[in-house]
Amino acid sequence: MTDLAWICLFAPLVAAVWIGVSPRFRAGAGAPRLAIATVLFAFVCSLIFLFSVHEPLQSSIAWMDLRTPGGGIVIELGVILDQLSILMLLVVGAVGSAIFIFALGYMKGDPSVGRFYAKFALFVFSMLGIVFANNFLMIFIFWELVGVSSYLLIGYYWQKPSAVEAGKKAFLVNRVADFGFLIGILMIWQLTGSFRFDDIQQAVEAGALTGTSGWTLGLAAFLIFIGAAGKSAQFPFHVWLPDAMEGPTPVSALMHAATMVAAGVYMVARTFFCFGWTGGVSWGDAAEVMALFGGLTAFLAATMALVQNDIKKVLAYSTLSQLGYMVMALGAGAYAVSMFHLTTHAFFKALLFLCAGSVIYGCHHEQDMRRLGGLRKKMPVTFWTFTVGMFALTGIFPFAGFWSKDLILDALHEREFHGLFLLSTLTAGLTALYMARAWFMTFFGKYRGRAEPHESPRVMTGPLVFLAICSASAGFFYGGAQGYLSRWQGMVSELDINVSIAIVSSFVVLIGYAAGWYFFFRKPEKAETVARRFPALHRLLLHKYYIDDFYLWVVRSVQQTIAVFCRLFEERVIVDGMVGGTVRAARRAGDGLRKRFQTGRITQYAYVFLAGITLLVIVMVVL
Amino acid sequence: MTVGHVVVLAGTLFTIGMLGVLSRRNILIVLLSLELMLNSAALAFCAFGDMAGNLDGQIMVFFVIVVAAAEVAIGLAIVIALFRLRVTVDTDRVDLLKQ
Amino acid sequence: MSLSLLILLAPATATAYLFTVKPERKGHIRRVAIGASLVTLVGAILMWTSYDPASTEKYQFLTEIEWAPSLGLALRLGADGISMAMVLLTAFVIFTGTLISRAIEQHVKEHYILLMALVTGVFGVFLSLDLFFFYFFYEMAVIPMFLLIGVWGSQAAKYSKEYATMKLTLYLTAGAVLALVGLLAVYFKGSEALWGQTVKLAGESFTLETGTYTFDMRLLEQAVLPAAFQNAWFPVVFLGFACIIPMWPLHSWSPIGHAAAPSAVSMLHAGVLMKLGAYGVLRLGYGLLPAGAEHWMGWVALLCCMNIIYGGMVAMAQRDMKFIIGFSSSSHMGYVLLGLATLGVTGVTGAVFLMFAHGIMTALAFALVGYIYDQTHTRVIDDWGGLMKPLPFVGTCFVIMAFASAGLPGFANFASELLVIVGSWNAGFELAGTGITVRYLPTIAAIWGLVVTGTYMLRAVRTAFYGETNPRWEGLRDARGWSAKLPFVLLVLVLAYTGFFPHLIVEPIENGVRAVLERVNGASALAEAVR
Repeated sequence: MTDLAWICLFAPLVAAVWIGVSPRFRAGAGAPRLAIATVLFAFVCSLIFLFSVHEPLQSSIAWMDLRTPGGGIVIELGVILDQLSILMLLVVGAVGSAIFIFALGYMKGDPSVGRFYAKFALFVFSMLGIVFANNFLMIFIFWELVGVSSYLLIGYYWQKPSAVEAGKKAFLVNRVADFGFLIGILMIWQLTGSFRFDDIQQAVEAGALTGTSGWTLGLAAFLIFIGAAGKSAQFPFHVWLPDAMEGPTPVSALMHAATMVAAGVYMVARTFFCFGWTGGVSWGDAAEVMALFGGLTAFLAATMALVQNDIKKVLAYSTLSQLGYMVMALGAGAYAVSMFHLTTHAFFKALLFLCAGSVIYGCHHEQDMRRLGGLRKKMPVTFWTFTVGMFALTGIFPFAGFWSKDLILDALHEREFHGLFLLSTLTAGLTALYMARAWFMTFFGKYRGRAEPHESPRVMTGPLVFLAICSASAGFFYGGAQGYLSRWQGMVSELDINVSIAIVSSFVVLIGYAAGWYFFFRKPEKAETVARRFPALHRLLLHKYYIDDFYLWVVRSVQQTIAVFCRLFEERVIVDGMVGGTVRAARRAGDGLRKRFQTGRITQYAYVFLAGITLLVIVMVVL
Repeated sequence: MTVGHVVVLAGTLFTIGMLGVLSRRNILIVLLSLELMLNSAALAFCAFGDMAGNLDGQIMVFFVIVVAAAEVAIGLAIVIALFRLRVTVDTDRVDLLKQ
Repeated sequence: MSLSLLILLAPATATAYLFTVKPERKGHIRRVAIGASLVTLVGAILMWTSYDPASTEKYQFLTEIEWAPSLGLALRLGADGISMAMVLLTAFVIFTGTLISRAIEQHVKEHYILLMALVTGVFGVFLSLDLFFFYFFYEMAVIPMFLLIGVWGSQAAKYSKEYATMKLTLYLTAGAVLALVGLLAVYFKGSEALWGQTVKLAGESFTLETGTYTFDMRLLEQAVLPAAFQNAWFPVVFLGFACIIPMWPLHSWSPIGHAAAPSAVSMLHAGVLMKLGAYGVLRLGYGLLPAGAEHWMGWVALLCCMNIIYGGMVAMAQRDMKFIIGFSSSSHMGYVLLGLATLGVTGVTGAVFLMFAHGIMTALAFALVGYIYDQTHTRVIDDWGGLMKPLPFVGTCFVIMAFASAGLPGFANFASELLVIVGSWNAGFELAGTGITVRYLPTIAAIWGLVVTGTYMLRAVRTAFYGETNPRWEGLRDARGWSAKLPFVLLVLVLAYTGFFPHLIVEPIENGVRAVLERVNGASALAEAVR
C-alpha cells in the first residue's frame, strides 16, 4: 500500500517535469491529459486506501543520513497512511480532478496551457507531499514547495504586474510565517529528539516533556501554529489570500479555496499532540490563542467580504472566514470536526469558485459584480449550482455546511468559549448577508455588462454538477466521517448535532438572508444609505482595516529604509571609510616618511646613519 | 708608547673625520674627511695587529689602502661630474636623492 | 597516474600548449580549453563515483612527487570528501565557464591561457596535501584573476574595472600573506613537535627525524600543539582566509570584483574562489590548529549573522543585478561560516555542501546575467523588464536560479541550508574570553535570512523578467540550440540532481568532515596537556 502511496506522490512530479522539459509535448493536447491522469490517479488511490487501509501504515527513506553510532541526525522522507491522510487525499483527489477537468474548458485558447498544467501538476505533487508527510521536516519541505507552486500559479499571467506582485506577496507572507514554523519545528525537535510525528507523539505521551516549562511548550506550539496561519491565511497573515485571486480561477478554486489553504488546518490536526488537549502536559495556552486568532479571522474576513465588488474577492474573504472556523475548532480541540468542515468546505468552496469561473468565462472575463447581473436565465446550470454552493456555505439545512458548521459551534459551546461562540454565530449571519449580496448582484436584476453572456460548455458544467452533488450530500456523511475518523487517534470525543444550537444559528442565518434580500434586491439604494450613514466604518472595511497599508508601510518605509541605510553604511563606512581609510593612511604615511626623512641631503643621511650605528652599539653593549 | 696611545690617536683622527663629514658642506672637504676616517681605521688595524703579534692587521691595511684609492678615484669623478652639472660643490644644494 | 594528478595536469598542459598556438586560431584555442575542462570534469565525476567512504584512509587518490627533500617539500596530491566536492564544483564551473566565454572576442588566446592557469591553481589548492604547494597554487589562482578582470572586465556601477581588480588582488594577497605567516609558524612548530615521534602516514608508520622539517599536511595534522600556540595563531590563519570567504567586514572587494569581472571569471570567482577561503579554514585552520578552532569559532557564529542579514539587506537596496548577486553571495557565505562554526558533523557537512551548491548556483546566476548583459549592455534591473518574453529559456533558468538561491526545496541549496540550520540549532557558541555562550540567535538570524533572500530575489525576478516587455528588448536572442543551452542546462541539472538526491554528495562530504572534526572536538583539552 505504501508503495502505491509513493507512486501516487511522485506521479504528478513526473508529469510536471515531463511537460516542463519537452516543448513539443507542452504544446500538444497530451500535456493537460497527462496532468489530469495523475490527479485522477490520486483520487483512485484515495478510494483504494479508504477501503483497504485500516491500520496506520508508514514507510520512510533516509534523505540525508548523518547518523553516528552515538546520535547524529537523519532527515527522512516518509509517507503515512492513516484515516487523516486518506481523508485529505480524498479531498485533494476529488476536488482536484473536478477542477483539472474544469480548467480544460476555462483555459481553452490560452497558448501556454501546457505550462499551466505543468505548474498545476507541480502543485498537486507538493500538496500530496504535505498530505503524506510523516515527519516535520518533510512537511516543511513540501510546505515550501506549495509556496513556490502558489507563487508560480498566481503569477501565471506574468505580463500583468499586479499578478506577479500578488504572487510575490503570497510567497513572502508565507515565508515570514515559515520563519516561525521552522523555529517551532526545531524547538519541538530539541524537546523530543525526533522529527517524526509518531516518535514525537510517543515522547509526549510518555512524559518526555514533564519538567519543561509551559512557556517553552506554549511558544513551540504557537510557532507551529504560525506556520499553519501562514498557509491557512489566518490573521495577521491573511493579506495574501485576497490578492492571490489574480491567478486563473481554477487556481483560486483548487489552491486558494479548497486544498492548499487547508494545509495549515491539516497540519495542526496532524500534530494535534502539540496543542495541549492530549498527553497530559501543559502546552501553555497555545490552543486558546489559536482559537482566538481563528475567531478573529472569521469575523474580520466576513465583514470585509461585505464591501467587495469583485466576485472572486467575496469568495476569497469567505474562504478566510471559513478557515477561521476550522482554526477555531482546532483551538477547541475538535480536530475531527475541523477536518470534517475542511472536507465539506473544500467541496462547496471549490464549487463556488468554479461557478464564479464559469460566470467570468461566460461574461468574457468580467469579474466586477456591478457589471454583472441577471445571469439566472442566461446561465441556468451555473446559477443552480452556485445556489447549492451558497446554501452549503451559509449552512442551510440539509446542505453540507450546516452539519460541519454546527458541529464547530457545538464544540465551541462545549469548551465554554462563549465569546467565540457568539462571534461565530454572528459571523454565520454575516456570511449569509454577503453571500446573498453576491447572489443577488450576480444572478438577479438586469444584466449590466456589455458583451453578451453565455452558458459554459459541458466540460465546465460537468464538474460543477459533480461538486454540487457533493456539497449537497456531504453533510449526511457526518456520522460516517466521524466514525471513520474515530479510528484516528486525534479524535478526542464524538460530537453530535445540538438541536438548540442548530435552531439558533439557522435563525441567525435566515436573518442574514433577509437582510441581504432587502438591501441588495428589494431596495438596493438602502445599502448606499447605510454606507453613507457610517462613512468611517465603510472606509475601514474598504481599506481592509488598513492592515495591508500597514504592511506596505513596513515594507516600503521601514524595511527599505534599513536596506538603504545598510547600503549607505556599506558605501560610506566600509568602502570609503575602512577600505578607503586604509588606502589614505598608507598614502599619508608614505608621504610623511618621504618628506621627513627623504630630504636628499647627504649630511642628514649621514647623521641618521650615525644615530643608527650608535643605537646598535648601545644595544649590543647593553644586551 | 703602548697600543692604547695609538688607539686613542686613531679614535681622535676618526672623530675629526666624522665631524668633518657631518659638518662641512664642501664636498671636497667631505671626501678628505672620509680619507681621514679610513686612515684612522688603518692605524687601528696596525696597532691591534702589533698587539696580536701577527701580520693580519697589516694585511688588512693594504686592503683599506686599495679601497681608499678606488673610493677617491670614484668620488672625485663624481665630484667633477656633479660640478659640471650643477656648478657647485655645496652638498646642501645637491638633493637629487629626494626625488 | 592518479585522478588528482590528471585533474591538475589537464588545465596545466592546456596552459602550456596554448602559449604555442597562433592567436588567430580562435576556434582551436577554444576547443583546447573546452577539451581540457571536459577532461577535468570527467576526472572529477570519476573521482566522485570512485570515492570510497568506507576507506580507513583519510585521503584518497594520492600522488607524491619529490621537490625539495631538504625542506620537506613535495608535490603531494590527494583528496578527502571535502576536497572531492570542491573539485567537482570547480570542474562543473570551469567547464560551463569555458563554454560561456564564447562571447570574448579580444585577446582570445591570452584569455584562455589565464583562465586555464587560474583553474590549475584552484584545482591545485583543493588537491594539495602540502602546505607550500597549497600556498603556491593559491597565488597562482590570484594573479590571473587580476589580469582577467583588469583586461576583460567592465565598469561596475561607479567603480572602474581597474579599481575592482586592484582591490580584489590586494585583499586576496593580504589575506594570503597573513595566512602564510600562520602556516609558516605551524610548519616550524608542528615539525618540531613531531620530532622523534612515530605517526601513521598513508597506512605505514613514519618517524620524522629530529632537525628536519616537513610541509606535509598529513604529518602536521597529527602534531598536537600547545593550546597557547594554537589560540594565538588560529586567528591569524582564520583572518587570512576570512578575507577570501569573505567574512563581514572584510567583504567589500567581493561584490565589486564580481560585478566588474567578465562572465566566466565571475562564475569562477563567486563559484569557486570564495570557497578557497572556507576550504582553507576547514583544511588548515581546523586540520592544523584544532584547539584554536574550538576556542575561537564561537565569535564567528556572531559575525556570520552580519554576513547573512547585512549582506541581504544591502542586496535589497541594489539595482545592478551583479551587485545583487554579489551581496547575495556574501549573505550565503554567512551560512557557510555558521555551519563551520557549529563544529558539529551536521553543520559542517551542511556548510561544505552549501559551498558546493552555492558555487553552482552563483555560477549559473553570473552566466545568465552575462548572457543578458552581452546583448543589453546594462545590468540595472529597472532597465530590463519583461525579459521573459524575448528570452523564455534564459528567463526560466533565471527563475530557477532565484528559487535555488532563495532556498526552495528541490535544489541543493535548500538541502544544505537545512543541514546548517538544523546543525546549528543545538550548538552552543562559546564566545572565547567572555564566558558567554550564545544559543539559537545565529540560527534564528539564518532562518530570517531566508526571508530576506526571498524578498530581494523575487523582487529582482519581478522587475527584470515579468511585467510589460520594454520595447527595446523585443529583439533579444534567446539561447538556441544545444551548445548555447548546455551550460545553463548542465548547472540546473546539477543543482536539481544533488537537491533531490543529496545523500550522493553528502555521504562523501560527511566522511571527510567526520575525520576533520574527530580532531577538533575535544582538541582544547588535549592541547592544554601539551607544553
